[in-house]
Amino acid sequence: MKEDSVFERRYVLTNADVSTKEECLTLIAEKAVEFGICSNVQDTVDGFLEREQVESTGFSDGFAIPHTRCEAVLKPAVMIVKTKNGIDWPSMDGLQTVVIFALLVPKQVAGTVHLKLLSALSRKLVNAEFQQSLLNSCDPDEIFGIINQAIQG
Amino acid sequence: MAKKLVALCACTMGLAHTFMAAQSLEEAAKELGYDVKIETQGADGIQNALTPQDLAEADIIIQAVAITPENNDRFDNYDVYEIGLQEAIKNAKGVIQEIAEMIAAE
Repeated sequence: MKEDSVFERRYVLTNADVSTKEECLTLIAEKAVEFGICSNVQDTVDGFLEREQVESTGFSDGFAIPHTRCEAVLKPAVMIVKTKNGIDWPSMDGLQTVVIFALLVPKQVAGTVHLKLLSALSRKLVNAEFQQSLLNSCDPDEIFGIINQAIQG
Repeated sequence: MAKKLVALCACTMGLAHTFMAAQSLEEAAKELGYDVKIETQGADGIQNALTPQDLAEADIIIQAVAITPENNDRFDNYDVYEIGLQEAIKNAKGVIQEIAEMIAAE
């Protein structure tokens, strides 16, 4: 695994026992600090929530894509959470959210390579087949493989 | 010759919804038989920029934006259909069909 990779196997969190958006974002922020992606849990959560207040990042079929570009983020990364139970994010179609893609981007980014990887993933997210493969899988290794392929492809 | 649809997508942070909207519009437009070109103005800068020729050739021009895009004066002499990013992501096909009907009814 490359050191500067935006996505690693350990960034996939499955069977997450969280029941609200805030709990989910806190879990992501705690792990992000543990993994060296972020410097501070609270600032990261606040960064996500600031964006959520503009408009919910929940979209359809059980997916949400919270994102932040703030000082607390040290390196660009994408983290995936699959929840044990659905969360009322809220979403565009009213369905509960079960797969959360969190995009983390530093305030100052050197170059656009990592941003392009994240934009490729965002594009993939509207693909029904891609969505279904993630909804169907509970195996973190498999989920890692599906997403890694989407980022590289 | 196939009709041409061009669009510009830009959200506030340029990380997620810009690209989700672009992809949704692109797939829907292709499915409906359009030649399609979509510019994104995101955190990675302006990609796939629409040229004066693109705009002149276009049968439908869409902006799915949450901000005022850069180089917006390109669009000055054209009918631009502005839609929400959420709308583009959720129901791109329906939106394009609706716009095409509006144009046909003119």
